[in-house]
Amino acid sequence: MLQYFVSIGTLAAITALLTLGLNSRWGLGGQLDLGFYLFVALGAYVDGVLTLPAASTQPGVHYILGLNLPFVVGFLGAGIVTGLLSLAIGSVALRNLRGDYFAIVTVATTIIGYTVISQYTPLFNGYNGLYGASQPLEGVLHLGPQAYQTFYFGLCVVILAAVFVILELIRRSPFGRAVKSVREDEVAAAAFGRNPYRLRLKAYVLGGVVAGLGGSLFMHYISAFNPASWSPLETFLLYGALLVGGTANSFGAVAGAVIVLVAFPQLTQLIPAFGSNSNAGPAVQAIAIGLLIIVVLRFRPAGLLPELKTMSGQLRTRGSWNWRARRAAGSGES
Amino acid sequence: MNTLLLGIGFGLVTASVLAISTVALSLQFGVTRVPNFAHGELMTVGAYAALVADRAVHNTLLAALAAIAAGCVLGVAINKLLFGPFRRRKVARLTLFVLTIAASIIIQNVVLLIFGGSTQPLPGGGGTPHHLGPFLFTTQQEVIIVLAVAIMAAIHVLLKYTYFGRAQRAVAENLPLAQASGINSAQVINRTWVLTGAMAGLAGFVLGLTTGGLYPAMGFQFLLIVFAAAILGGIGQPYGAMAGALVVGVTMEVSALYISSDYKTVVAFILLILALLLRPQGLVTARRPAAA
Amino acid sequence: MVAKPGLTPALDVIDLWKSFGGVRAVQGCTFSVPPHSITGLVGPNGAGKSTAINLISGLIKPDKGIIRLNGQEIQGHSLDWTSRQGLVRTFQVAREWPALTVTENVIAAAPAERQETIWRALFARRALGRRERLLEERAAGLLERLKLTPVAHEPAGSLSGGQKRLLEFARVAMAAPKIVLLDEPLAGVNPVLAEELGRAITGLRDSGVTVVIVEHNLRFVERTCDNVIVMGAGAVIGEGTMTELRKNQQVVEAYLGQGAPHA
Repeated sequence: MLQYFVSIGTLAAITALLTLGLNSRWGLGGQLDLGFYLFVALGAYVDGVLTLPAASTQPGVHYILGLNLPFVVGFLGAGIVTGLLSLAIGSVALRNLRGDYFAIVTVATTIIGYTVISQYTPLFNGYNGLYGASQPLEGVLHLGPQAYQTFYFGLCVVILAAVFVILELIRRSPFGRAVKSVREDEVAAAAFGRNPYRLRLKAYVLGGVVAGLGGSLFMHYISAFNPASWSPLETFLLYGALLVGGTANSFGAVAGAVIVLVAFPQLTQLIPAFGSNSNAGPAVQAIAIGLLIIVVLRFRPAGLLPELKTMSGQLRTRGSWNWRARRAAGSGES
Repeated sequence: MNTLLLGIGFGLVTASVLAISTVALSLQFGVTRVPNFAHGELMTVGAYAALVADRAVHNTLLAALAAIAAGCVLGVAINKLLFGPFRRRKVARLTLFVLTIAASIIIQNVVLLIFGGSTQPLPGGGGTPHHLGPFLFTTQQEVIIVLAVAIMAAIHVLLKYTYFGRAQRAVAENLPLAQASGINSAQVINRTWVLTGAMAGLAGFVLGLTTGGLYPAMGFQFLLIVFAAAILGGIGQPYGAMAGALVVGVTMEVSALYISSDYKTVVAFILLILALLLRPQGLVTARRPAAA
Repeated sequence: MVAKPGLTPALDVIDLWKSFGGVRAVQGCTFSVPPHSITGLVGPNGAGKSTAINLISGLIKPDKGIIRLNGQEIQGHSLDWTSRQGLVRTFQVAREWPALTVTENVIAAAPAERQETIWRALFARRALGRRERLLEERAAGLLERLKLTPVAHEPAGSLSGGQKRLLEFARVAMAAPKIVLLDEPLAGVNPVLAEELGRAITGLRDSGVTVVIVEHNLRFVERTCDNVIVMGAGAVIGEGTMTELRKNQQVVEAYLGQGAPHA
């Protein structure tokens, strides 16, 4: 029984971490990134190819690298690579695109990534994906399986706490305030000397790094990762978490993650009618979140745990969402 | 050269399916200014409705009509239940976009619950391919191409010569001016959704025929290709949508001659990204840029 | 009024041109703004005033022409670059940051001075804390002067239209610019508020900021501005005090149908 909670708890901690990463892009930066899961997946893959032994040792399995390095290297390496990829993609996508067009590009980019990774087997073993990932620090600790699960849970919680503190410090800093001002009205932010492009890009990269770290933890939690774990639904669920928990602060992100992504599915599994159909569980969860999003947007767009009395800037009627706002401000009458 | 022409031929088939769906999207976007992320589901629902009808009566024509009807109903439902109430509360455009995403997920998963996740074939064989000039088509493919051309022609007539068509263009071009000129914009929007739903439903049916099988995510996976065609052609521009569909369809199929066909969708998405980055107003320039 | 000899004009606009499509919004616009003055920029609708402001502030790029801020050429650069050189502008619509509090709105307008990075957020917290306290004090003082202290911790989006305009002045003052361009600050404003805003504007000038105001309210312009520039059809058609301008035939004709300049 305890092991069940340990396992769920680990999943909750990792998911909360991912939600924090998405919150950096959406809550702080105001960017509707629908392709977030690309970076999570890439984090898992990069960690995998850094920590797994060389592919040549197993017949019929192909992937790059395979350096058999310790977990720490895999973990940090995942964050670095996803950070760099975020920089590359963000520097292009964030230059001119806003709102829904930016969102569409992120979906397209993620599906391109998904297709390439699935089809180009030499990269990450295609559809079969990576498996057999080691257990971090196992060689040092020599714990039994149950004790190790508890240890890994603790490790994830510690990492979550550290990232939480770092992101909160960033959010409450002058940098965080500047990013928020860009989110609220980028033309006004520029009118007071801030460079919207660079601030947006930094928030985007920050989110990417956290995604990569989360992906790495995910990889060692399940000890495998393949394209089947990777669907458009995943990002959608994270947004559900943010919407429920509120995007104004990191508490909301974590609370939302726990409620929507962990507690809710567990509860639905208790309903006997859905036990039989293997599709039913995730389908019902998705439908429920979709309805929840519609309801929350209708009645409480700020989420269930808003910080101040404020409302998250992105979903109101202010028109700083397309760059036509620039032109509208520009071609005045007088 | 022969293989290139064959590739172009396949491209025409893909472009035909694409054109029907893309024009539908463009008409809808023209009057709502919100990209409907649930547009793919209009196609999916149309396809599955056709499947149900065909299993019941074994008649392709009735199946097509079922697809059209289902698409209509869903389109109207999206307008009345989602866009209408939220529009009245003057929410941001991005909120509407997010709502269409929610709707997309809900519909996809409802279909999954009802029909299951495995691919279901749409009955009705394609026939054997035969030569038509330099191209190689099955009868079914020829019918699809002719159907698409007929629909494009019908849309052209509709837009140019009917009151609704002119009103739709007026609303798409300049909503306040259209309203000031006495056009009932709400009615135009409602009717546009009916048309969009009908066309998208039919496109879903045709998509099911050309790909040979239905699955719950089929519309969603086609959605981005539709976006690519729509944005390339100038989103909100029905004629641009036709051009965009042609370019995207042919490019996809011709590219499959040179690189693995698994990457066909990647080619379409690259076109989408390039279109958004370089020419958001599309090939057919509107008087208002696509970002509007 | 040409700048006094020996005093660099705060702002020099030389032969500025901008067309949109086939329409010439600004053609051959040339004027100078003396430092530490309040200069009005007036003209009928369509004269090109807002376009000129947008060109000068960097929101749009000119087709041709030179713009100098205290002698330094600034044309062709972005809005944020131009702002960092000391040229701040406001908009016809109040553009507050709605989800941030009033105080945060003011503090976020202060010059960034390279303090707004992730690195400093994590590793220079003590220095940032000191700076924050100074900024909070300054912001509180500005809000006090504009009588906004009661709403200091409310989200800026919840303010009334008049309060938002006052907030704009707090932000401008906080940015400590060399020159500020006010785009119709009095549009739709009641006389009491207009009085407040007028005081805020003279307050800015007294603290060393050069002020340029685009306005339609000519009575206000007459009362507040040392110097008035009149634009018509994209170019400057008159310059001087209101009295001088009333005698200028071209200026009077440009305003025909819009109300005579002594309205």
